[in-house]
Amino acid sequence: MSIKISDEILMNVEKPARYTGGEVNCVIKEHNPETVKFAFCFPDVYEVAMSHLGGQILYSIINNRDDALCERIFSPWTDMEKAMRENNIPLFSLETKTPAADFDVLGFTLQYEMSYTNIINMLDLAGVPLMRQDRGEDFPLVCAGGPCAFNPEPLAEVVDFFLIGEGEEKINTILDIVKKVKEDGLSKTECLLMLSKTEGIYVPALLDDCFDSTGLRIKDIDTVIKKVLIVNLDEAPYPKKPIVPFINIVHDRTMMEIFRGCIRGCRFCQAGFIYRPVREKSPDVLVNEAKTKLEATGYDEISLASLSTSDYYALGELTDKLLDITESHSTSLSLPSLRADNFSMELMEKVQKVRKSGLTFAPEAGSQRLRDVINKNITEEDMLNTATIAFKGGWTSLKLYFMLGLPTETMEDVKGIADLAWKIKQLYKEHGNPQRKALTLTVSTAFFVPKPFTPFQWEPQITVEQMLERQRYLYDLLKKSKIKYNWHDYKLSRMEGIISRGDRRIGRVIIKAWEKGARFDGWAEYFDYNKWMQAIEECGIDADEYASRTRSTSEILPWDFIDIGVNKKFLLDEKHKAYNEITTKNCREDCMVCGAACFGTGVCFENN
Amino acid sequence: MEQGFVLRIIRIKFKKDSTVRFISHLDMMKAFQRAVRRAGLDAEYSHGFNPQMQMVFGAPLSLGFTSEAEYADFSFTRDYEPDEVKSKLNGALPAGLYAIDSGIRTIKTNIMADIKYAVYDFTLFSKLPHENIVDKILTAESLLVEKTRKGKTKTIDIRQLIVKIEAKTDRLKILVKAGNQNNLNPRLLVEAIRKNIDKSVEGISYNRNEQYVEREGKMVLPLDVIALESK
Repeated sequence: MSIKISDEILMNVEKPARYTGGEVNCVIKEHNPETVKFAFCFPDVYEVAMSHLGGQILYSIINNRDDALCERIFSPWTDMEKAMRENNIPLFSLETKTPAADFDVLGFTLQYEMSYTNIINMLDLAGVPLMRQDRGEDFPLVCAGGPCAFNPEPLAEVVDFFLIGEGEEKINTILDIVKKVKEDGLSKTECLLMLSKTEGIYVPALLDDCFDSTGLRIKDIDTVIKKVLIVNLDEAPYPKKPIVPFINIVHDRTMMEIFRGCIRGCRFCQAGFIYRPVREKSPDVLVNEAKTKLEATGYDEISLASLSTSDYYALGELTDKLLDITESHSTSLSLPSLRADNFSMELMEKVQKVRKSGLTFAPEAGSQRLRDVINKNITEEDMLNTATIAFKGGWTSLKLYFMLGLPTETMEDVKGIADLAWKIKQLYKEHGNPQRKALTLTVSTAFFVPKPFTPFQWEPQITVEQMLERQRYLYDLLKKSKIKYNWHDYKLSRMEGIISRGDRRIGRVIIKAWEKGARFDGWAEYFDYNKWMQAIEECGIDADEYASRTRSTSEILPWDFIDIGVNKKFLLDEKHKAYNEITTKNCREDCMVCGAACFGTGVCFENN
Repeated sequence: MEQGFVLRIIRIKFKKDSTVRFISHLDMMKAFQRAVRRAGLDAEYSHGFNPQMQMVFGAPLSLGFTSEAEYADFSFTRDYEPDEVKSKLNGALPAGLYAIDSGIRTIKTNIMADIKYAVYDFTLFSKLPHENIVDKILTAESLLVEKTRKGKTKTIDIRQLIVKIEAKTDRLKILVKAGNQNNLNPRLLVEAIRKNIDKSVEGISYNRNEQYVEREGKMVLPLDVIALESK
């Protein structure tokens, strides 16, 4: 069954092309009863969803099978949601406008906690019961993966099964099981049992008796779910024909993932631990991939994607080879996530022949002491040197990113942010060309949110009062120096702090907040802190217990039954080193035996 | 095929069918640019900091409209045959956009500057018989309607923008002024009918049939004019 959406509705919503599909390289297959029908669900608006590389990877793997199909379902924007509810239009897929409830599997990607209410909203729009225990045989299986699935518990009563780790490694196994279940007419329970025997798959129903009716854990969990990953990225499938959206999306270009993981081990960064070990693609594989993708999409820009472009082992070779292609294709190359060093400056000179606009540093903390605490191995000298070269070379704009509220932070550290910005401002007077063009210097701060599977997973988030105090202090300092300051909403950071280390009880809060109208919480114009606070109160939850409590290192954390390869002992050692202001060498300099070598691949074996 | 200092301009006539009717003019231009690149056609780019593929489109089509006659001029650095460009584009365009005809443009004037008339048809729901509505429009001295553009509302007379109008079963077919100077969007005509003649009217499934340029006071098809003048 295919849904018809009237012109009247589409004429009256913002960007109707968000809902009409038909883009170049989208795949439309026939819906046969025996075909396994998978909907890739991204709980945000089209422009964000289509910028996600992982979705394109899964889409191509599934659609390459003859016995399965994958279609896309995204969150309708609030205007479209209103129109859909008024006209009783259920959530539908972009490819064939099939109702979401007609798929066999709804697979959500969990990219950020503040998209969780959108998942609830999408299930509701689909007419699918929100709680897994209320979904009988007739409703699709609901699964989830992505970085936030490493702490699955907040959604454990909504989602039937989670895939912990890299989805492309196990998606075919999942489809094989669902196919067999369909063929043999097996029940959902049998299906979930079969799935639970697959590495990396967590079926929360199997742990239900460890929790009481409020979602509080009452028994030890003896299950261990080990994450799955791609061992050899060179052989991993990549989308040979990525979908090319009609409308502008966030990343409107050919994205090339050059490696996974990060050698740095910044202590606040979840990605730096959950994606270990670092695995890289070789330049020749990437060059072929770039050619294939450019020819299939017609994009005029290639961008490299990774957690830290500068750490790619053969960056010079790769950029040279890519520049050969881009020049012959009238295409440009962009290199995000470069470190603030001389090599990066040379690269940018080489690559950005024309526009010298934005330079970005992310020192994260204002003082060397605090940068040592968080293991951000970048020195003030590095930054000042790079800024000097940049200003001499004609750059006129610089952005600085910091976090407020990092463990052990004092007002002196906060002042360090303003001091560093001031020094950079002075450098421009000396080395730049202020007569020709004034320096655009921007300082941005976000609040530190402690995340599972980091050395700071036991740390308290600073209180709302402390957040305001530090932000105000920095605001005054930067105002005095006439430096532009952008800050994150403290309320949003606080909510992230509550949800990211949440348990099953937090799941109830998410549903309650959604009932009160919470949607698109990652969007400043829709985030409503009061709704969340009311939901927390009505659920009888103490927000401080989740956000601003120091957890004992002997406490069993909600995500402890997940094994990311990096062991808890290592995280604990890193926590102690943080308090002693001792930095840790990166994976290439020295192996700290974090545990990720258990996967038998990547940087851990580079020197062997 | 010659390569070097060649500049060949090909005029393409294309269809925009209902699957892509909600793709805006700008997004459609981008879709064409990417199609040219996918097709491996060597396009001419502007020379500057931000090189742009050289292409010019006829009168923009409103969001939600289909069309059987859109036009665009593409500049290439190779002396492609029109048919080759047409077929290569058709191998690369998204479903819903189809090149249906093509020719070499040798005249100076580009398509955007040249369009003077357009023919549309659309379904009109109304209480009055369509013949009555048509009569009233044709006999009216003026047909006033409010037009809002960039937040400013002004009252304009659209009567002289209507050249021809005829009723065909449940659809109206109109020939109107189009282009940069005088342009009538059929939605605005429906609005004018609602204001002046029949409050109940609703228009749907708007379609552009054809566009014309003007030569010596006569309407000429955009693909004929390039041939006429190059002879």
